[in-house]
Amino acid sequence: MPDLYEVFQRKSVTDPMVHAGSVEAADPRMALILAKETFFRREHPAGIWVARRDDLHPLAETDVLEPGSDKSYRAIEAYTGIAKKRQEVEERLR
Amino acid sequence: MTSTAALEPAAREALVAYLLPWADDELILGHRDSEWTGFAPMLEEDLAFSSIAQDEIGHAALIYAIVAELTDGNPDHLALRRPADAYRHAEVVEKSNGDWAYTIARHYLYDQADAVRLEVLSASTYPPLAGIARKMAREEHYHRLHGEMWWERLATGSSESRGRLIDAARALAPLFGTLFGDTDGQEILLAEKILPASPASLYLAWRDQARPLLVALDPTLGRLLDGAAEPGRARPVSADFQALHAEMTMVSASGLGERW
Amino acid sequence: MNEHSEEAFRGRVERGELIEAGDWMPDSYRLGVLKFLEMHANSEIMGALPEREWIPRAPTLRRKMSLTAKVQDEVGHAQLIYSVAQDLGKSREAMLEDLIAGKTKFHNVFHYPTESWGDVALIGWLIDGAALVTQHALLKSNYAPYVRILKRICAEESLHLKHGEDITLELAAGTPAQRALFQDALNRWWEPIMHFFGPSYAPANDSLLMWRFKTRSNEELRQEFLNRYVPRIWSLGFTLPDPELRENSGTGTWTYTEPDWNVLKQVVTGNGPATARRLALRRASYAEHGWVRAALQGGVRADVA
Repeated sequence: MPDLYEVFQRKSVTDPMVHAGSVEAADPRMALILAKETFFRREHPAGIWVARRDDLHPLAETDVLEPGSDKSYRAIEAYTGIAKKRQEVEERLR
Repeated sequence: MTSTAALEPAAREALVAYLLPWADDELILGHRDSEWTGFAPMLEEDLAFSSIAQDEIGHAALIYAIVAELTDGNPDHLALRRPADAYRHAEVVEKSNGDWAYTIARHYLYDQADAVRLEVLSASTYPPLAGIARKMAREEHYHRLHGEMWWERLATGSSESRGRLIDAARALAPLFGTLFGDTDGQEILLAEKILPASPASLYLAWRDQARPLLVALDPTLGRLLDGAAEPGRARPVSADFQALHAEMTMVSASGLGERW
Repeated sequence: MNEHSEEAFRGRVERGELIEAGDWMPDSYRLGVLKFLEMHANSEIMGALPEREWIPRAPTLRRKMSLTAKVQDEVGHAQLIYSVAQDLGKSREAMLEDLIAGKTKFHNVFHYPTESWGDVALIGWLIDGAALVTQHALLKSNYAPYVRILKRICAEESLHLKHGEDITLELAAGTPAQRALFQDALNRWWEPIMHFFGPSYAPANDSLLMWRFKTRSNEELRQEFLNRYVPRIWSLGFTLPDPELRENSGTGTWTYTEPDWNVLKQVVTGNGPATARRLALRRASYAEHGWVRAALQGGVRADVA
């Protein structure tokens, strides 16, 4: 049986590579040529990668990806009140 | 630069005589290629080859459009309504698809011939022709990558695939000259550089590319390229083309309607 | 509760969670989904056969290209669905071999012959329309890998639908002979279309519905199809070969003559008018290409390089 290759594409030069699907092919050269007409008949990506499925490794413990304790300090939403705070400080210092 | 309006009747006629066989070549080859849709050796290849078939038919459409403009005709009528003996394609494109090796060999060798022709025509002094040649050349790059990939895969994949490719090349090589025949009035086109190079010189350029490929497969194949290009296109309608034409015009020439 | 238990899985399903290929799943889910996907993939690759007959016969350059592209998309759908099915534990090769051996099923509509360009119009409009109704509903399936490919499949089927409608409208607005082509196709294809959605089952008897892999019943889908397409067929001045067919005034539900479900059973178990011929074509093609598959196996062989 031919190998399974996972196919990736980027929409434009400033976009990251995104997974598109998989193709069966005898080697990477064939995989690239076939990927174009398997996934991109209606799209014009800026680039295509292929990698053998065996060379890709999924994370088994997906539970560690779930949110944990409060990390809101990493998000800009933690500072939605800042305009108001600036007003108050400027007032006090007048 | 020459425009349609500026073309003398003799040049116009000579250009039609040059373009129509080429349009027919692309259409008939595209028709043959499209017959693989649903039956290619593997699913992903079915998709790739089907796109190639669509490209060939699309190229035919571009050329028929110019002929239609030059003759005040209709591209669909030109493509799908002429009687069988009015088609001017080369014998090599009407042959039945044979096995996958035959199809790949014809596809790869034809696309090399097309590349040679398109490079020359991109410099045509007739802008519509130069324009479509450049457009077609972009798609032909993918066709050559695809053809080359399969040619090499069949040449080295197994002794059976290699043997079949050799048989295919042996059957096809002598027929390729038919793509490079002279056409009526071509001296006018050459003089005005509407056609920048003669079909005979294109044949030699193609042969230079094809010979090493064939000889690498089997040394005895080189000999098959030693003939000159076949002059002209008039020949009796073959059984292969009779059947193809009947199917191709079944609906368009049925008389059931004009618009589809 | 054991995480790898049917009870825990049922909990996930009821919480509306999406299932991935690598997740633990009970055999009844895995095998049910695999069988469903296999039938869908088989249907796409077999569905290519009736229409591809008309590619060489297409009456204009543009239709020649667009019909080739349409059939190409169906083959593409087969590629996508077999790839997803494969991750549930059956190789593509095994699925193709079972298909051509007559061991697995494909949708009833692809067991029938095509007779004219009228059939091309009808298949492109109404059969793709029926497929789109079911596939659109499956976008809410809980099997994530399938949902991912269905987005692309539905987008392409929507295009096919418009393409089919475009061809139909040319016939409808054409000569009496062209209108007759489409009417004749309608007369032959109506029963298979009604069969396509399957018999009405009580939800409790539809295991994939209970697992929320499917979210709508066969009857709901058939009704949606009738409601969308029958008025349009009638507004083009065509008739349908069911004297009982009518909308129940303003309710959006339709009454129709109950199809003969025995016919459907016969067809999908391999006795349709074109089944044997089409499977034979597939078998011959598969056998013919054995040497190509062999040539793709290894790398460059030293003895032939």
